Amino acid sequence: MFFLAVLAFLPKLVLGFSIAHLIWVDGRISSLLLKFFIGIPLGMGIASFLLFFSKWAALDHPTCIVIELAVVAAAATLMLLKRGNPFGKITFDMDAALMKQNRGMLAILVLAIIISLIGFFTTVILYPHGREDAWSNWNLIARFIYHSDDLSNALGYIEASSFPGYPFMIGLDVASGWIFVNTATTRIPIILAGLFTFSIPAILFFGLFKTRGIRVASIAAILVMGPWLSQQGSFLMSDVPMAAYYLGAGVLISLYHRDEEPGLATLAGLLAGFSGWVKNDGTPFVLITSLMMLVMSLRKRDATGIIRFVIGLALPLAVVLTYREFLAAPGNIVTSAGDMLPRLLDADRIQTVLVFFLKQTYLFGSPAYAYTLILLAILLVGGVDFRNENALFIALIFLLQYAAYFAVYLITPLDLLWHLNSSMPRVFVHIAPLLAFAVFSLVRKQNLFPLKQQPSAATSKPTVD
Amino acid sequence: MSSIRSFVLRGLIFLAVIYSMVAGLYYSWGVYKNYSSGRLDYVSQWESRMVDLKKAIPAGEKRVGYASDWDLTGFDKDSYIEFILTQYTLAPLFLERSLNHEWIIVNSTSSEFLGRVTNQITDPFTVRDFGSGIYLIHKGDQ
Repeated sequence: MFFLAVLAFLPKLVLGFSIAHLIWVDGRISSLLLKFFIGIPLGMGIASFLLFFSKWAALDHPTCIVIELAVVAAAATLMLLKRGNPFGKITFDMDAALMKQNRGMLAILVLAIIISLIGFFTTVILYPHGREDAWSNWNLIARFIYHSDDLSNALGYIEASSFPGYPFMIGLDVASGWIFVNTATTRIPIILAGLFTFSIPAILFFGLFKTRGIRVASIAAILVMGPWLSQQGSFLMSDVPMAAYYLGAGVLISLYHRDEEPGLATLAGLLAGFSGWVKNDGTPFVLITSLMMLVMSLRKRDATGIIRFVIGLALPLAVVLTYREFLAAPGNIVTSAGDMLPRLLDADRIQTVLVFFLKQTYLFGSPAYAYTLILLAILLVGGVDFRNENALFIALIFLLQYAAYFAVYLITPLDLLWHLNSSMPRVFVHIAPLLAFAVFSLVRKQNLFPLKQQPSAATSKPTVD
Repeated sequence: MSSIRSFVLRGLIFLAVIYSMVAGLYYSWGVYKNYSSGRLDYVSQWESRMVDLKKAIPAGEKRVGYASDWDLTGFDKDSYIEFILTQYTLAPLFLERSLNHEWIIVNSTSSEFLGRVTNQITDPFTVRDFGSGIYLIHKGDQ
């Protein structure tokens, strides 16, 4: 059943990679691998759309499978016709010599991956249904979708819950996996969570490899795979997938800023848009990344970036707006301005939220992890490279998202302490990998590796077929 | 000055990498200790408890009633969790906290509570006991 569950997600991975390669033309091995790992959140997002519309139209399960496979075949064929065989003209910017030169660092990276995998699998074996939010929200919604003819039961449950109007991408992806294996096994949410969880260090590694070189990339990937990642990933909730979308969009924005390859901006728009389909928390991220892309385009006096970003954003945004317009109950966080303003200016609320934020920033769920402290210490000791405008943009996206979460807690009409206690540690999970990318993009490289110039693909432009 | 800073930074990164990996192993060891104690997670336990109840409700039913201690004592976290666990186990059957259904699941550790529920039902009914405080009321039977 385990391998069958892995196979259930194979079409989604092919779909994600095909679309990434179709949009972003780059034949370097590091780019192909980055596209493969970006393809995980991308493929899952698009597949969830397909099931959403199929189930909305009350189609039966075999038809849902045929639709997904037809779309995957169409995307793969189009990619092959337009771009040719992606493995035919590979440029090896990660070659054996580079690996050999950094074998010590890479060996530690492999060890960190093994430790993280052990942490993930021991937890999911012990808790195959995940933690409370996994089975009471996403897997329960998935059961409603899988066992029902249409979406009415799932929508009824969401409307009656404490999160009315919430999108439910993870529930759709779990249900899609069950439809493929024809049984509601716990293996499906486990594999889904595993794919999202381990796409994070991979996206971080290949993103930083392209901008800062293999050593910085390895250190960042090792640190992001601290126990918090395998733990949160094994909870089977939607927070780690959310982190993958934020990180993916951040990495692609950074690469676009450097390479000015329009496809990167389109892919960044797609991933940012999908974050608003995973959870409502993604809405401020969509606004913040759009704003930053606009600022970037104005500074460059070139509208290509923002136009291509908005093109990428259009598909997920259209689906989210369709869901909100025709199916979803009104949300319960954003109320009228007259209602929110007193809460926004309430000094006691500000103080309460501030204390929780500072404590969470320090603790990051557990004092044993010290993740944020480690990253901030590295930045403090290493120094900030203020000339690296690209990295400053990413840091600004992180800080604005951090501030947006702060503002959400100020305006929430729900019981403040309940809301803070129940969601704040998980909210930090969303932005944690993006923080690692920002820190390792910002830190002065000459302080990290001063003795010799490390091999890097950082200065070369992408190879265009 | 720059070389001192670089030395401190590389030392910090070295310690952080070691710390991160040791913390990862320590976390896995903690989980493994729970695993080796043979404890079944509570969701799987609840699903096992509900196997017979699930079979007793006809497949065509869309909604059933649900009553628990919660209705007597007010909201408490455990009752809420058990409600959601029951919903999770029986989905796509929809649970409603109401007695206005042909089938009603009663979840209570108090023997008095079942009596209170049945006193409110005016139709003829039967009660089936599934153990551990789980009962299924079916209206329309004698």
